[in-house]
Amino acid sequence: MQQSRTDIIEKLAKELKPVQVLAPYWHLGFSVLVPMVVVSLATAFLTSMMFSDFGFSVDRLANSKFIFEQILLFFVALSGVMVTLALSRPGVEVKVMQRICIGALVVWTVLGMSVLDSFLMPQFNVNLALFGYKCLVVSGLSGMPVGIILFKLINKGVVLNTPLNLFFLAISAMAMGCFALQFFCPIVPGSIKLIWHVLPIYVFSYLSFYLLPRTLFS
Amino acid sequence: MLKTKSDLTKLTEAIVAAQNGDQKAYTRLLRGAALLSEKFIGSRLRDPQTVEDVVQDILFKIHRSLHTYNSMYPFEAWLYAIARNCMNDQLKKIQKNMETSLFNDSVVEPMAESEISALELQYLKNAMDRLSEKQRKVVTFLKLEGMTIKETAQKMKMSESAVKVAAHRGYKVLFEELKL
Repeated sequence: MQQSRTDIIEKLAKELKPVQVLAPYWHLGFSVLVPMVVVSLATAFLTSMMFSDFGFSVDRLANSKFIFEQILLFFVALSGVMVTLALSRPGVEVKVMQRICIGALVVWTVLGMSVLDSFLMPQFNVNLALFGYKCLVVSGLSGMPVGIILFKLINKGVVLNTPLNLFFLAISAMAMGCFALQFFCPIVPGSIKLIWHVLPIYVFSYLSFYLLPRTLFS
Repeated sequence: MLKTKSDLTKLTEAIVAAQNGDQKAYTRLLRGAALLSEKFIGSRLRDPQTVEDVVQDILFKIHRSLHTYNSMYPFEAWLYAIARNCMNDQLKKIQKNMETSLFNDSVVEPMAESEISALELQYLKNAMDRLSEKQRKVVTFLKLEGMTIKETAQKMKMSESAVKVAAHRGYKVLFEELKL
């Protein structure tokens, strides 16, 4: 038994070549953050042009509620990116950051939808709800480049927990997509936003945690 | 035996030297890592053979993940994250084998070759062609014929560690070929 281990050590030592050490994950995270935001915003801008009722409005930026929501959402995306990258670097403690990411997502959901937006069912409009699929198209497409960039980056490291990594990858990509979408989306009622802005983040992250690892990596 | 803080500092120095291609430092590192892992895994699993299998998996994983270690972080945290992951993988494997054997005892038939799509079979054949003769035989015996490492070693007239190394290299090639 011991002999076999010694043989393996000798063989692995003979195979050794100098390696290029990966940059610290936070360094990498911040260096890709600006390109991610730019690509996501550009994709949201281009895809929102497909729909006539979508467009950038300066009035939206003057709304403090909107700014607060966007800051929270950006924070979810940023912490999600950091957690995703840290999960592919063995030995990096990520529990606190995971809680911050999930906490910010929950705060955004609860505050944004119920307290700040006075989530009331009388505001619910079926026609508006049905046409909200456009939001999903824009946020999905805008989040996709972020997901691809992150996927490439985590593959440079060593993925220790595939479901958890895909879970945070989906959260960060969809949150970034939603962040970009909200600059162009005209929908105001909280109920519609809950279905087409918030819910996709939860659904995609759930699917990434349970379904993707079983279908892609089984 | 590794006991003191200075031993861990030496291992940290060894891994940094190993990242620059120092084979002697790498041997020291792997020996130290094996001892630490054995202690770590041994306190969690009872079966000595399983512990040894996990320790050897850890050595292979260290080899593949050497580039991910950053000297800003403690070496033990890096090693134990790998060790914990290898142990969980091993436990999952054991659980899966138990479930499979339970199913095999009852009614479930193994999947027929015709159920695998022709395209998938072609991909697999192409990937297998990329392996060396020895690697192909080892992978076939271990994965297709369900032989153990010991049986494969006896059949191939190789040591068990040589079988593991050949299998490890073979899986690496297949992994790259099949883009898994």
